[in-house]
Amino acid sequence: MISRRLVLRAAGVSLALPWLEAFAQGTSPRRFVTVFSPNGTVLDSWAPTRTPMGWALSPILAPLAPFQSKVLVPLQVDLKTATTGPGDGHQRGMGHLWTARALQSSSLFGNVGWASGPSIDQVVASSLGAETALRSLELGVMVTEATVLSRMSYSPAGFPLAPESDPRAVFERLFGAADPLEAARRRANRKSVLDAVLGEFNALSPKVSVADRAVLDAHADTIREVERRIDAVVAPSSTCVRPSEPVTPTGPDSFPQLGALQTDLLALALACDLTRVASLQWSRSASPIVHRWSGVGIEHHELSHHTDDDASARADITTIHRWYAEQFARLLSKLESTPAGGGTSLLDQSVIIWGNELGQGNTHSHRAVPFVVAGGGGGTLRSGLLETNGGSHSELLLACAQAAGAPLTTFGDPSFCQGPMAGVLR
Amino acid sequence: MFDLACRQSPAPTLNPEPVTTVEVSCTSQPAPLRLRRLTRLEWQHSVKQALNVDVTLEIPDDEGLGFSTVAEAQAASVSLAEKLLEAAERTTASMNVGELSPCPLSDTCSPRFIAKLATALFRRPARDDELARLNETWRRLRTTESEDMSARLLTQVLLQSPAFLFRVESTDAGVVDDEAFAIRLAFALTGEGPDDRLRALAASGALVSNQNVRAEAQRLLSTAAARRTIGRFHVEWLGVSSLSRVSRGGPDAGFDDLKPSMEREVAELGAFVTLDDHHLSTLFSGKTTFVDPPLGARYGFAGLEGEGFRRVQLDVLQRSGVLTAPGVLAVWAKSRGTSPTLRGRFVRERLLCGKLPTPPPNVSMTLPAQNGGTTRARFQQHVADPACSGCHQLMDPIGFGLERYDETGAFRLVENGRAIDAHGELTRFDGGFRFEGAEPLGQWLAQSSDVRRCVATQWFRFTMGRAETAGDRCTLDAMTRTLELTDGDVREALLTLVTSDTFRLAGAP
Repeated sequence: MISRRLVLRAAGVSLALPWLEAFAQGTSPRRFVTVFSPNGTVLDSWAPTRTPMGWALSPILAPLAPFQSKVLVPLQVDLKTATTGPGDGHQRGMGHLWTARALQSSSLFGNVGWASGPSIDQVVASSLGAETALRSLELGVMVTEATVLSRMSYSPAGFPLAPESDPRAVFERLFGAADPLEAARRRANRKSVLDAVLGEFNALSPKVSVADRAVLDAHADTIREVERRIDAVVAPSSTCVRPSEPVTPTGPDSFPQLGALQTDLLALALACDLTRVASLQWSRSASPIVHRWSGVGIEHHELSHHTDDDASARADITTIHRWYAEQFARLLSKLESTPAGGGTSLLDQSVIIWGNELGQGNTHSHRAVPFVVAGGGGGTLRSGLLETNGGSHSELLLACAQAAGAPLTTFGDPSFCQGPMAGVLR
Repeated sequence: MFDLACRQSPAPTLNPEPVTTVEVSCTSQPAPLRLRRLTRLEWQHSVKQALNVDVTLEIPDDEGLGFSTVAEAQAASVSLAEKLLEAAERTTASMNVGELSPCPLSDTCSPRFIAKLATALFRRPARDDELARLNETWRRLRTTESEDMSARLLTQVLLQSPAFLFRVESTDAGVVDDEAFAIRLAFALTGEGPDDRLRALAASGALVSNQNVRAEAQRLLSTAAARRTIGRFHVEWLGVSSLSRVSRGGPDAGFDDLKPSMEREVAELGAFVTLDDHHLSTLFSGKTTFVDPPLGARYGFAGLEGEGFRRVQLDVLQRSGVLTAPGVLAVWAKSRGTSPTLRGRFVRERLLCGKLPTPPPNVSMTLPAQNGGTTRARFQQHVADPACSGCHQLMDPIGFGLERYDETGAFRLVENGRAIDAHGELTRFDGGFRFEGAEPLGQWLAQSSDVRRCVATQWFRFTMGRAETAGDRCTLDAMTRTLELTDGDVREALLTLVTSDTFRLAGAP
């Protein structure tokens, strides 16, 4: 924590560090995005197939057709680390997905507590997050709970990071007030207030126990993040245009509209270089969303537990995941249409991983989990179909982090990570 | 009053689940404490209490052990910091500075204004170093802002300060000091900070006497804030706090509009049983509940008029106790259909405090398709597999007894044209309890010593904001014994808790 603060202060003074060199060499900084959708898949409808000419997308992944050349689909990837540690299938899947470590043993949520290590996005943010207004951006779509099932991002210290599910609040975080005078005034007021608040934290912190101090310091760090955002000014450009202020839709069927708003705001945050690391969490593990707009009238989680020979349920699950693929394509499309210099698009400079906490819902299996890697990673990522034959997902995450330029050599539980997954990097 | 000395023989547990044997210690041992942040509701109540402003803090509740109060589940986040900032701005936008200020607001008056507000919000007299910093902030603000605006911005500082946001406790010689003790007592029973009388008692040293603590606790329990807090406990304990997030029975079931009333019913019933009726058995087998007209119509009470909740007598052929409250039945169900498993798990985990094993990995957890038969028949087929039946035997047969209530909580006698068989069983190593329908199950729970132990345990978790440990055995035994000796007076058990050693102990470092 302390070292990060020092880095931030240094960055504020001199805008130092690797990316300046990258800019000097005319290359665009890389972006790193994790996307989650829940409850496993129907493998037959999800897995792309080889064809004489190459490979063909599947019924679920068909919406990715415009980006097929910029997509890598690793087959038969397992959450191998999820064979360890406590928790039920959903809890382990969600906790392991981006951390690749065992959950803590605790009575907090049945038999488990939070994850025991940082998530890959936050590890990447440790190297990509220093120069931007926001170190990272965690977005959710109807994440209304606060349990281990609804947290996928964990800070470098292993604290869960709550995603923001209100597009109106995200807009406020990214762009603030429209009127420059009002914006300046509010900025000044907020800075005065938060400076004084931090003064209170600084004064109290040394007087309390070590355990209490950790709690106070973690909260104070989030206030510093808010302050840091207040300090930064967005420079509008051809690719960074301030959107109109969204009105947050409400009601049980607002999920698609909320998701579209969050997707667009995420893409814009990257386009404006407000952050280089982001995550998007659709609902939560064991999602209770009823996808009525797709003609499915039963909770997704409930549906995912129907039997394999229930053809109607399999068709509905396929419909739901195809809908998620359409939403993923919307994100890719936004990034593809944003130029990033040198004839490349923001998509070419990005590493985007879309994952799920399960392979199959009705067995809670952590095998053959549906992962899709999209973007060019600045020329570091391959595309196509990749047979991994039971590869460890932590090796996939490591490869993706390296593609984003993070100087990592291992990730998660080291006994499941021998190095970056073969066939991912060029 | 009941003394806290433990007996060597722990109460025998009849739960069939493996129970970890803990050495009974006869003195309470402090568990490690984690700093507690105000919950969403505590924040709102505290703002109302100190500044007389009604404001909504738009954050999700934390959910450790099923409760919003558990410190270990509280995590920092940028989103939280933003919401606290924004809520502080909204609060000060609508606060009445003139009414709160002890003198016409000016630079001369400002130290008194600051001291008054800091003392109100920090739940104790502001310290000298705090006042020095706050007065300095005032001077800085005044270089650009009006007196009124400076007062509002300064209040925003107070609202985001650790002394307001967290329950920082000064501890000495292994116990919390009087100030911190008063704060613990007030939050435990009223969900907000101590009032003037309690603060004065703390300052006078009167709270070292358990007799005084008991008297003060009784006074606090007679307040509206205590009724609200006890209602909230029941809403969280029985799972009804999740009701707002579920969908049940399809879009035409009219379910969504009734959710707030269903939640409120459980709160009203819980508060009534605890504060007015004094018999825990009434919660499980009572013939009375509380409804407003829309919820009453769901129960079949025609012609209720006006607004608000009123006490009604239940139709004993259909309803009995909180097990048959629509909110409880609906939240422990699925979107299209009931779940005997979830309802059984609810009884096992929430009411009996049993631990159920995690489902083994990679076993099929599939439901047979809807086939026009009854849910009971589908579930019986589903657990025929011996790999599943071991655990499901602990849950599903309990839920079978509640099959006369659908996933919206409505009463029914037939499902898909077939008569419902509501025979259920709560399996125990001593042979178990067989019953038909909710009423006998409620009556069994009403007299169960395991339920009384569990209620004591749940209250302990909610109030202390942490899981119980071996060192808390004495206190839990004493609370349970209180329930035994008073025929289930939960209010007395709460008095046992707040006068226990545990309630005074500082955590182990």
